[in-house]
Amino acid sequence: METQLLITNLSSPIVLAFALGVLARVIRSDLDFPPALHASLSIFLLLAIGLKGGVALAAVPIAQLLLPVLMILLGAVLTTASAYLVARHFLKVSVLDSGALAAHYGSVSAVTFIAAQQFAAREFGQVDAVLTALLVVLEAPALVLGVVLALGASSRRQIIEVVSETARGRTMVLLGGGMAIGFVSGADGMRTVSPMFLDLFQGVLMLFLLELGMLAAKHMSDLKRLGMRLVAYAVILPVLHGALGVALGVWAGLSPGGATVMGAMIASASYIAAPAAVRMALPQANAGLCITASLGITFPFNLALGIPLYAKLAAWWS
Amino acid sequence: MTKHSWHDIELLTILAERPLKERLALALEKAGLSFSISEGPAESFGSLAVSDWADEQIRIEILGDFETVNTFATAIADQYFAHHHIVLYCRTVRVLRPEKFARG
Repeated sequence: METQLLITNLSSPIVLAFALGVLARVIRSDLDFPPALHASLSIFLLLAIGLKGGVALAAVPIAQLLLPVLMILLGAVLTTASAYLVARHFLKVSVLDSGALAAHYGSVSAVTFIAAQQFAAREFGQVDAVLTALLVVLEAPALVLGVVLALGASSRRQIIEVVSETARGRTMVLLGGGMAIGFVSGADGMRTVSPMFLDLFQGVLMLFLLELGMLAAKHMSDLKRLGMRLVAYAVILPVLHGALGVALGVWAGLSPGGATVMGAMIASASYIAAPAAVRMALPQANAGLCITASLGITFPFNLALGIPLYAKLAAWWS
Repeated sequence: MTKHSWHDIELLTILAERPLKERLALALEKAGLSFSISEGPAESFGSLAVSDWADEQIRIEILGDFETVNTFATAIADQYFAHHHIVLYCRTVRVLRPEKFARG
């Protein structure tokens, strides 16, 4: 069963597209995406996932949101703290770098969320409607907490900077905005745009993962320089965080599919919103360390092995 | 046909990490300078990548007289050179209609 789950995941078009992207970089192929395409694809995906989430959320009573939101906030606090402590004591990096890493690992990767949602829908059928709202909630708290851990209590200016950077960032505008549009226009309104945002979703996701594979491979080449400890950090931490996320999802009353996605969200590390926000609030921190760990190691790990593992845990614990 | 003549003017180019885009744009607007911003992978701006980790960077071009450009460049250097990936360079170019690039 475990092997079957793994094979199903590894043979999915999006994982294979990611692997193709890595391969293209390794063999130094002349395959190249026009600069504007990466931005266009991510705009499409974030808006589409927001729209779908908003429509689904319209059918959910507000009271049903409370427990999952509390659980995801608890997850954000615990994972930011653990990422900080492990960075300080295992990686032995400075307080600033530990805070920056904690901000990345406590926050969330939207693409990991999308990949987990696709996987959970395939394996378990429908997944819970509240998940996209949880994605929006999970983004900012860890960034603030990471800055506080790095700078202490006297970090008011930087906290404001992080909150402002995150709130104005493309991820939040597209996800939050898409959700609001989907929520207000409802399923009927969505029908008019579904040929674009629903029918094309899988194909666009595949293209995006192909490009992301090339980008991740670029950062993987930095691993030799940064050492095996960072690899261990970026693999072991997501497994522990993923298990915690699944447990929190089950306690929040989510379905096994929902708990899988929550596990993947908690296990993931941000590589779009966090680097931008951390660069502004903690410019002295080592940005290369954070982006290599989150995009070069943790993202491919979660995509290939982590998500099936969290699904297995969710099936056991539900 | 009107006769136009060429005038010397400074072209300041700023290459910087992507997260600085909004801040630099705001500073330029406040200084009343005309500028253009493009963004893309480091490779798209020639071989000069501002950092070894950033996947995207920005390129800003500003036209103005030497004093204006120098004041702005100095302020940016004071603020960002310590901890940010940013490169500034300047060269003299010739333009028609120099008044178009006067401080607004």
